[in-house]
Order: sequence, then C-alpha cells, then structure tokens
Amino acid sequence: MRLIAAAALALALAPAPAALAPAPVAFADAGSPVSMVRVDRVAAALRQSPVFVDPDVSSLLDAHERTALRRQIAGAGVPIYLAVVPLDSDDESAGDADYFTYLLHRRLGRDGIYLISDQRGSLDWTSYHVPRGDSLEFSQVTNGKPLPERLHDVLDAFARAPAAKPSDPPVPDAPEADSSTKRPGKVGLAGQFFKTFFPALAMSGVLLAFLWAIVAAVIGVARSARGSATTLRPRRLRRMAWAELVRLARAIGAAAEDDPGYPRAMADYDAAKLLWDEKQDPGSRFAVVVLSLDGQDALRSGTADPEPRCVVNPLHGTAARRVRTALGSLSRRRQPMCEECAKANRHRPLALVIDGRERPYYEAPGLWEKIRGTNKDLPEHVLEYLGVE
Amino acid sequence: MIPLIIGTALAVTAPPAPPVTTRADYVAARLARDPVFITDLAPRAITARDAARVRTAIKRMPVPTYLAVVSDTTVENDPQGTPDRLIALLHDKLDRGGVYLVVPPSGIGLTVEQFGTNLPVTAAEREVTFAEPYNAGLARVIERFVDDIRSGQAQQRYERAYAEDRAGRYPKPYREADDDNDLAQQAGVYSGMGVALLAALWILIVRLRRKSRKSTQIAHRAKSGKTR
Repeated sequence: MRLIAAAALALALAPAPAALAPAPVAFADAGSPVSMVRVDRVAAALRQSPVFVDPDVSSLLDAHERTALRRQIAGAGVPIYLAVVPLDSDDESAGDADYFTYLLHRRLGRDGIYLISDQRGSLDWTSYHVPRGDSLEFSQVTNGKPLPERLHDVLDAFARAPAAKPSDPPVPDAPEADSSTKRPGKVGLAGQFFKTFFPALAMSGVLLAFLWAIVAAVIGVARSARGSATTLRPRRLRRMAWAELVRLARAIGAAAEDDPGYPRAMADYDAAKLLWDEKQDPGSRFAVVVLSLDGQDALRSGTADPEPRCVVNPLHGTAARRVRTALGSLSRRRQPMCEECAKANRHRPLALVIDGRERPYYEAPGLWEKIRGTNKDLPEHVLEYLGVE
Repeated sequence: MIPLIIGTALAVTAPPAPPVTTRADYVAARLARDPVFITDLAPRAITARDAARVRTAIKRMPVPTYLAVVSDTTVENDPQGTPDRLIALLHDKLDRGGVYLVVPPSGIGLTVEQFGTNLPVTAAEREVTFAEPYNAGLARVIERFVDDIRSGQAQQRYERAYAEDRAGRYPKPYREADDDNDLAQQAGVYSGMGVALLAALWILIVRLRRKSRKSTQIAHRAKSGKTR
C-alpha cells in the first residue's frame, strides 16, 4: 500500500514542474491519509509574502527582523521563500525538513530557494531550478549566532552565489505511514504472521537438520568406538594380521591337545602362517586376520566347526544367523551376519585400502576374489589357493 | 555584517512593521468562530475521526467551553510557552466566560481553567490524568473529562482513581496496532517452529516404523529359514 502510494507520488512528480505550476491542488497525496492543511496554509501565506513565521513559533523573529529579511530577499536577485515552522514527528512530513520543503514546493508551485527553519532554529534549504549555486559552508549555518543573524548571512550567501546550472533536486523519501493509529485488518495481520512464519520455519528446519546431523555423527562415532574398524590401511592391516596370528599361537599353546577345537585351530594357524609368509597383498593379510580369528573362535567355543564370521565385517564377530541379501558385488543368497548387521537396513562392508583405493574386503584381488566372501572352511580354501595339498 | 546594520537601520527608520501574529492571537481568532481549535501540526497524531469525537464531546459540556489543541513547540524563551499563560491570553482576547482547555495533540497533560462558572474542572482534570494510560490519545482524554463533568461525581471519581494509583494499580495501556502486529509476528514465529518440529517428528516416526518393520521381516525370515 505504502509502495503504491510512493510509486504514485513518483509518477506524479515525473512531468516538468512548470506543467504543475498553475494548479497544485490535488495530486498523488490526495490518496494519502495524512492531512496537508498546514502545507496549504504555509503555501497560501508565501504567495502573499516570501517570509512566513508560524504563529506557534512567532517569538523566533520579531516584526522588524521579518521586515529586514523580506527586504533582503527582494534584493537577492533570485526567488527565495523563507518559512519558520515547527517540525515534529506528528506532522505531515514526520519532522523531516527535506520532505516538508518538497511538499511546500509542490503546493506553492514556484521555483526558487526554499529556506526552512524549525522551532530550534535549525536551517534546511533546497533549490528548485534556480540558476545559482546554493552550496553553503556548514559553519555559515551552524555558528551559534542568533537565528535572525544566521538567516541574514544565509540569504546574503544566496544573493552572492555564482551562477550555476539550475538543478532539480532529488525527491526525498516519503516518511513511513504511522502504523499505530490504524489497527491492522485481517490481511495485515496475516502479512505480519507470514513475515515471521516462513523465516522461523526455515530456520527451525535448518537448526533441526543440523541437530540431526550432529546426533547422527555422535551415534556413528559411538558405534565405531564400540564396534570395529570399517576401513583398514595396509600398515594397520599388517599389524592386525601379525597380532591376531600371535594371539592364535598363544591360544593354541594354552589349549589342551584334546580340545575339540584344537584341530581346527591348528589348521587355521598353519594356513595363516603359510599365507603370512607367502603373500603380502592386503587381501591375503586380511585372510590371515580372519583365519586367526576363526582359530580363536574354534578354541573359545570348543568346536571343530565354528560359526563363520559376519560377512559384512568379519571383525564384528561370529554370525548370529543367516540373512538373504545381496551384498555389494556378492550374489543374492543367505549370508552369515552378526546380530546388528542382520537388523540393519544398510550394510557397510569392511573396506581395505588397496593401491590407494578403498574396496570391500571381498572384492580384494587374489584369494577373496576367488572365494567370493565365503569364510566358512577358510583354511581349506586358503591352502587350495596357495596350491598346497 | 554591514548589510545587517543597514537593514536594521532601515527597519528602525521605516514606518512601524505590521504586528506579529502570535499563537494566542491566532488561536483566539479561530476560537471566536469555533469553540474547538485543533492544530494542523499533528495530522499523524490526530485523525479526522478523533477530531470529530472531540467536537462531539465538547458540545456535550453544560457550559460554553473552548478547547485549544496546540503543539509543544519547545521554543526557548517563548513568552506564551506555558498552557496556563496561553489560557490567560485566550480569555483576555476572547473576553468570554466559560471553561478553557489547552491540551497537546498527544492528549497527555490537560490544562483547564474556568471563568465565571463553577464546575469541578480541577478534579475532572486530575481524574483523567490518573485514570487514563499514556496512550489514551486526545479523543479519549477529552471524552473522559466531559463525562466526569457531566456525571456530577468528578471529585469522587478523582478520589477513586487517585486511590488506585496510590495502590500501585496503574491504568492498562490501550492495545495499539503495534501490539496486534507483535502478537501476529510472535504467533508466526512459534507456528513456524512448531510446524518444523512436527515435520521432523513425522520424518523420525516414519523412519523408525520402516526400520522396525524391516527388522521384524528379517527376523521372521530368519526363523522360517531355521525351521526349514
């Protein structure tokens, strides 16, 4: 609404001022709710005399001072209009001297220098199509002298100003309509509502997404801290393989030879030791890990046929059950999985870093390529792979 | 400086300048024609409707009443600065008996004097001061003043209002457009946050339900696999 009013005002202003001069009666601000009675009163008075002092501030200039200023303006050589008026935030120009000058010029419809003094004696002027320069030194206007003397100096400066191209000053911004006097309607309230609704919605959404990400990250970290590694680099893999192999050897050393898991553990150890000596590629190293764990499982559970390890990540532990699933490049079939992987929606297989690239362990070239992720009866597969009968 | 001296000299030697119109002259001249004068300086504070309400209220006064709504211009050393002085000058110039009221456009700070009548104007003025909140506005203040006078209970009303004030119970400010807008904006903020929260909750529930359905399916399949 305010925008439309401003646009209308700008449109009305566009034509040459000369065209407006004869009858500046009703124009764009006819639609504005603020009364222009005061501007009309001042304009009417300025048509009679170039010096106007509002009765409310009549004490600022006495009769002699007014006469002297009137004479000075008559001899200045350029049209000058002086208005001494109170300016206040409740008035039609919201206390803005620039805007008051603009309104006054439009109502009066005459070119000239408009000089405005407010009730505190602050001066403001605008030059409308006057072939004189109108730039004054700041000190000439605010030098602490009484108002009549300052007005005299300023008028004198205008009278002596060098010739210049007449200028059309920019249109000042209309003061904002006062919102407090008029209660908003339903549309206005809805506007206010949606002004904050969508930003709040967007910001809350971003905030919640952020919170979600943090919670997810914390859960992820907690899980990986509690669980096992998901990516193995060659250095770590090597250490892990050696450590698990040694652990299996210790376990075998500690176990009785009549332990039901003993033969399996020995088979695992033999295959792992052979593999460790013969092959250094990441797939083989990881097979050493799985073999060593399998041997330890056999001794721990006292069986010659321990449960296979979780296919998603053998480090998770032994499989709790078999789940029919298509895992990565593995064909769809019932795969052994630990309890958590069996429940999970998505599976993130353990990755080995091979030639700088992360690949699921069951896609590692060599042994794993051949056995396609099966880790049941691993010792036999390994011996077969190594060509040992 | 020289032109000023010349100008002053000219002014001194010239025939006497036309007399200056003061605020009291101007307002008195207007009041002579219309008992209600409302300054044209505050159109943003006084709407046409407010002006109409004020006029209606003044017409209800039992004695001739003159109301001048004038701005606080804060001119230094203004001999007519105070409302009391303005009332005295207005009475001098109008030379009519009755109640004289001077009030700024905000309605805050009503000054009243009576000449040749005997109404409880002071009590009514004080009652308005204590009973109306700061944002009552001109129209409400004048209407309340007139009501107090007409009620014949101005003194009692004033005492009641004063007792309330002494007890620390101040008048509640009227709701303004800004209050309505603030409320609408606050409602917007909380609804936006609420909707976002509900959406997040909905997404969470949907995800959890999907997950649990999947895991029961898996468990079911695992069980049937074992029995087979």
